[in-house]
Amino acid sequence: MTSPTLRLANPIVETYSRLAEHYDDEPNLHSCWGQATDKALGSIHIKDDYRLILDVGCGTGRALARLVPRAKSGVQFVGIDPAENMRNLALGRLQPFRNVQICNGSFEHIPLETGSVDYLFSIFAFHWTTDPDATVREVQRVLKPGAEMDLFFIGRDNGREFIQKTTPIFLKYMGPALLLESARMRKQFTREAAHQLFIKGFSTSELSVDESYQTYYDTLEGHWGWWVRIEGHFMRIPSARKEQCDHEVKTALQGLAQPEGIPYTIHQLHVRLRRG
Amino acid sequence: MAMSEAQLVDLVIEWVRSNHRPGNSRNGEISAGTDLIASGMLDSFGFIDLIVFIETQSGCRIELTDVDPSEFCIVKGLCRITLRNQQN
Repeated sequence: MTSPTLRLANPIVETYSRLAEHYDDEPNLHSCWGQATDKALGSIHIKDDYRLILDVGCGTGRALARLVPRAKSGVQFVGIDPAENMRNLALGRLQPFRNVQICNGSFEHIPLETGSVDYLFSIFAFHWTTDPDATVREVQRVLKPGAEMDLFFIGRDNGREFIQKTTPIFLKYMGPALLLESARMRKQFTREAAHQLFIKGFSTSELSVDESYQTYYDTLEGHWGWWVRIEGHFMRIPSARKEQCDHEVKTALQGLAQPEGIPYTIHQLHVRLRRG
Repeated sequence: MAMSEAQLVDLVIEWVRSNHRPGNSRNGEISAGTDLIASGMLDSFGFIDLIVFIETQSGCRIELTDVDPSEFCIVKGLCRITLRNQQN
């Protein structure tokens, strides 16, 4: 039961850990986020000369489970995640592979030696960083000279339709201070701001930042299937009021319905580092 | 010299006109009585940036605990909250 005054060290990490067993439920996997994740994962190419590959925010290990069998022997994989129960699920999933390690870590604290990683990737985790500048320094530290990287994360205009509909409701249930505190948990950059952040650590000749907007249509139940991804934002809504808040949010989202379904636009940023 | 409510309202309106996200408002009209959230002009990220702007301009920290949400999201209400903070 959530206490109105409950304060967590990192509500996002705590909530991901608490809800880990639901993360791979079918509604989440088939949701717009599941589809966007699959698309990002499908674009990752494991080169023959990579020796150490790092997945930051590996979650339950689904991406690694798809990539590891594709790699040549001798390649080592490391997945890091700060949510303990997510790591436990990843450990179970990746147990058959002896060349995979799952460790406690995050973008701000990567438990690997300096200059050790050939390829770093992350799918929809970077926006949870608590310190973007420290993250760039830490990523730069662990990458070998000439290493490559693909970071996929949400941009400034992500979920615009939902945000317009739901912000007045969350303001009502959370109040201004908690609403803004909740928003600060995510870092959503414009493409230009992301580029400015990453050129602090990487050469412009090797770095590129792309953005895309993709609108997904789904039923209310379909969209509610991915709500597990953002529950951390709402931890401090008193439990007695959470049900009513959810009800009002669902009613508001239903108001967005079009013949194709309820739209949700993913604004994705893709930071790519390639050898010069 | 302390800023008047009217001066602060003008500053906020000007900031919102320049900084609201494209496509996030039904129209570009904004006045002292505009609800910045209900109108879609600002989302919570926009409000974070606006608060930083107001704090810089007014020289005081805006305390939002126990603030009435309906006052917070109206331009003149937010300015009044700021000026109350300035007096305390």
